[in-house]
This record gives sequence, structure tokens and C-alpha cells, in this order.
Amino acid sequence: MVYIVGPLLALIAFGVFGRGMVQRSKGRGFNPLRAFLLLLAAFAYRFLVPGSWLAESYSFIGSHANLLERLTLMLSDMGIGLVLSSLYLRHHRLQSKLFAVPGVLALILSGGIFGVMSLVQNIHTPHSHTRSDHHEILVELGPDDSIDEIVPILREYKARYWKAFPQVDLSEDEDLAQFYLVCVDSAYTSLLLTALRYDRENVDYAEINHSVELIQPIPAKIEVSKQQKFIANDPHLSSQWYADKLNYNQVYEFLREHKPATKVKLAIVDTGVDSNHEDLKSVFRKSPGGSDNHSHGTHCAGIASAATNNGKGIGSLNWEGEYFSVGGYKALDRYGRGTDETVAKAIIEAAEGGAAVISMSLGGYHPRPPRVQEEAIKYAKSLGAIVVVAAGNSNDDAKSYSPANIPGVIVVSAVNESFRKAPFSNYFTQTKMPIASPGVNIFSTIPKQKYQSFNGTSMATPMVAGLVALMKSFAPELTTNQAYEILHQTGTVVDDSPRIGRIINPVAAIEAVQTIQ
Amino acid sequence: MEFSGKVVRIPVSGGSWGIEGDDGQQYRPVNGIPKKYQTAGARVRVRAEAVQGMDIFMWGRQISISSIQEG
Repeated sequence: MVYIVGPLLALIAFGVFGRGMVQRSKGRGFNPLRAFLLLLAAFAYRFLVPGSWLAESYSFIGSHANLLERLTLMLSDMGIGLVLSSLYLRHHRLQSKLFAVPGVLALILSGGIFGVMSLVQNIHTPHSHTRSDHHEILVELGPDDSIDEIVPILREYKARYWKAFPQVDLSEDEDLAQFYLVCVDSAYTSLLLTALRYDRENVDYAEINHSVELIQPIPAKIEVSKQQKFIANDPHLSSQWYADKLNYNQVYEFLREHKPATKVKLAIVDTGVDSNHEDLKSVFRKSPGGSDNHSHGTHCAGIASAATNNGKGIGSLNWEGEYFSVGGYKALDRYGRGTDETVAKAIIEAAEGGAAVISMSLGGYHPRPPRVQEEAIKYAKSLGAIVVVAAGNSNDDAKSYSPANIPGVIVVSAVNESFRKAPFSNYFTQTKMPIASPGVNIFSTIPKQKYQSFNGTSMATPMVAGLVALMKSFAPELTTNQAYEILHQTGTVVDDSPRIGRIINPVAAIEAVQTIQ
Repeated sequence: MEFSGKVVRIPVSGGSWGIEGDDGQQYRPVNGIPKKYQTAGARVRVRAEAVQGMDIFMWGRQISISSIQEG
């Protein structure tokens, strides 16, 4: 739709211009006002209706990406409109060059901007388009070491390199600032890794920058809530069994009487968040991942923070959107691919963007967690963020899954409608801060104004993250340990608690947090 | 690595396909399973390379399949 309306408006506008010229050639009058208004509508459409994937190709220029995307699309709209209208003029044997020349120029300019920006983006973020015959290696140098010291090794294997996190300098974090990404022909990967690991004087760590791929989602069941009488007016609350079971209604009654000390920032590190979703628009804050070409990130954002009592969609613990805002940080690109480095980068961006709570519904089998992510989480915590992560979905011990096994994070397992361990959920034997939350048939937002039900510890995690954000809105100085202690002490003990932790009890948790304001 | 196992539907995060190996391990191919084998219970024999990464499924060990056949 987004690709049709713009060119159509431009085409009609220039069509009206063209028709006016035809009329004028026949000696009749022509008032260009209508055509100008249509043209204005075409411009306005482009500025008011985002939602294209082009901005991602421009993301390296930061916050101006959306503006440039609109400019590119506007030029292409005008180009299409002008060229097609010139054909109309030509049909009437009138001077068509007046439309054809600027039309072609607009198309060339639009294509040129897109081409150049895509090329620069490729150079800037090569992980998205790394050729399959190349590998990336993450290298951490010692705090006092310089990349110059390993350049001879890199040259020997014809490797390219660049700083992994240029936004972090040594004074902010001496570990993250020393990470480099090295791109090398796959034929030399093992040799280069060995050489780098051998250079212990300069290199603290060298590991493949692992990549992953996703598959488009399929829906799960929609469970209807038994209570169905919420004081909030969100129509889909009846499809959220967990809102009933976790007594969201009591939370809403509490929140109607208690205003936050401050509005805090929640970050969803995932596939991005559809910032135009009707139930997220009012709570979304400006952040790099404002679009989602998958759906996972938008689903998580809805669970944690959907605007509540707004007469639309679902409910969350974010009563009337007053307690926290949500931001999207893309760890996985539009192809559903990500790497250790992109996950770390998203965590850093979220923390530097002032996130009080970071929700991470991603992970993998890593008995030894990737160093770069340990460092990124440590950095985020040093800036005051509480990090909440998923336990994993393998019905396995969470100690072998990262980021669940990274120290200092709250780890979330999933329960079903009967408050029993979800069959897929990982369990805990050594995890320091385990907690459980509903993660089966969880109904929430997905892109393009839709709603869907998914399963997973991915879904349980933002529910806990949303509760922690709510707690932080009452007690901004709340630490990870304090937050966990409250979640644990107020949590509901069930038969499976020894394996999955206690289940969150939102009402009791926010009442408890009032005592430590 | 080479192993045999059965194809299973991963019921989380919107769904994906994985393989439960005869060795008792769970394997999630990051490069997907060809459509013709996307049937729960289908027996397959796989040659693959182990990869480590993170994703939204958080299910099993990640592998990159180089060849797959009925088995």
C-alpha cells in the first residue's frame, strides 16, 4: 500500500496538470489549484506515513534516516507521476518534455540516493551482507593495546577491520572500546583465529562473530480470559488469560491511585518495534529500532508496555502509558539475521539511550557466554539498567544458554495457564536470579495493526521487564538485586518453583516497592 | 557432524523447525530445513556444521546444514 498511494497521488496531481494543459491548448481555462492541492497531498502523505524498509538502508546516518527515506520516496513518486503524465501529454501531441525531463531526473536522483546510501550502508555494516565466503571475527584487545600492534597479522591474512562499538570510548568502558570486527576470507579464518589467540600480549579474546537466521512466525492459540471484567477499556483484554491470572485489574486499581515518581524507559532488544502500531504509538519513544519486519519485537513490546485503558487493543502493566515508555533496539536485521556483535551493539545503544530496564527475548546454546555480550551487559548495568532475559525454550538447564548464564541478569522461565512449567521452558539449577511468568498462548501486538498469540520464554520475559519498569517508575534508584528480591519475595510459589522460580505477582510487587522509595 | 533424527515443530516464538537427533540432542538449523522435509516426524539424515549464535527461538544447538536426505 505504502508503495502505491504516493505515486498514485503524484500521478493524479500531474495528470490534472496535464489535462489542464490540454484544455488550455484547446482555448479553455485551467485553474491549477486542484492539481497543487493533490501534489501537496502527495507530499504530505510521504511525510506523515512512514513504514518502508528503506530507512534501514540509511540507518548508518542515524536519526535522519527517516527523513532521507521520505525524500527518496517523494522523488520517486514525483518521477513516476511526471513520466506517466508526460506520456498523456504526448498522446495529445503536446510538449511532453516539460514533464518527461524532470520526471526522469527525479527518478535518477531517487535511485542514485538509494544506491549510494545502500553501498555506504554495506560498507558501514558489513555483517548484514557479508559474503558467504567470508567470516567475521570479534577481537578484544587489552586495555593498553592498539590495533596497530596486530595490523601485521591482519595484513598477512588480507583481513579488513573496524571498531565494533565506535560510540564507546576507553573512558566509558575499557573492554567494549577495545573490541574490533575483523572480516577475513573463510579460507584463512582458522589460521587467523589461531594467530590472534596466540598473540596473548595484545589480544584478550578472539571469536567468530556468530550469525543467526529467523523464520517467519506462525500463530498459537488464543485463550479467552475467564474474568472478562477489567476496569481498563482495552477490548482484547479478554483474550489475555494472563492479565486475569496475574490480577492486572488490581494493579490497575492501584495505579489509578498512585502516580509514578518518574516515567522510566524500557528497551526491547529484538527485531525492532512497529512504532506505528495503534497500541504502541503513544508509548513509543524515539529509538533506532522503530520498525519491525519480523513481528517478534513488536509482540514483546506489546506484552510489556501496550498503552492501557486507551480503548484499543490489549492491556499491559503500563496504565494509560504514564509509567514507562518503550524503545526498540534492533539486534536482528530485516532478514532476521543477527550476530553477537549486533546484539551487543543494541544493548549498548539501549543503555546509552537511558534505558532503566532492558528486555532481551533472545539467546542460544552457549555453555560459555560470548565475552562481547558479557561486557555489553556489564556496561548497561554500570549505566543503571536492569537487564531481564529469557531462560530459553529447550526444556534444558538454563545454565548452558546465554544470556541467561551471564552474571547479574534476571532470568525468566515460562508457565502455562495452570501455572505449571511450560513444556518447552528451560529450568534452573544454578541460576542466581530465576523468576517465572506466563509464556503460553500470549496474545499481543504484531506489526500492521494486528494482534497474535505466541508461545515462549520470549513472551514471559517482557512481562517481567514491564513489571520491573513499573517498579522503577516508583523507585527510580531500584537496583537489580533489590528488584529481584522483591519479585522473589512477593512471587507465587507453585509446585514447579524449585525448577523454574516463583511466578511474578505484580500487585504484591508494586505494593512492596512503595516501601523502598 | 553427521546424525540422523526426526523433524519436529518448535512451538515457540511464532514457530520454527528443528531436528531431534537419535543422540538425544536438539538441533536447530539456522539455514532452515528444506520444505519437502518440513513435516513433523519426518526422518532425516543430516550433514551439518555446528554454529553458535543467538536467536528468538532459544531452542537446541544451532547448526548449519550442508546436506540433508531422508533417513
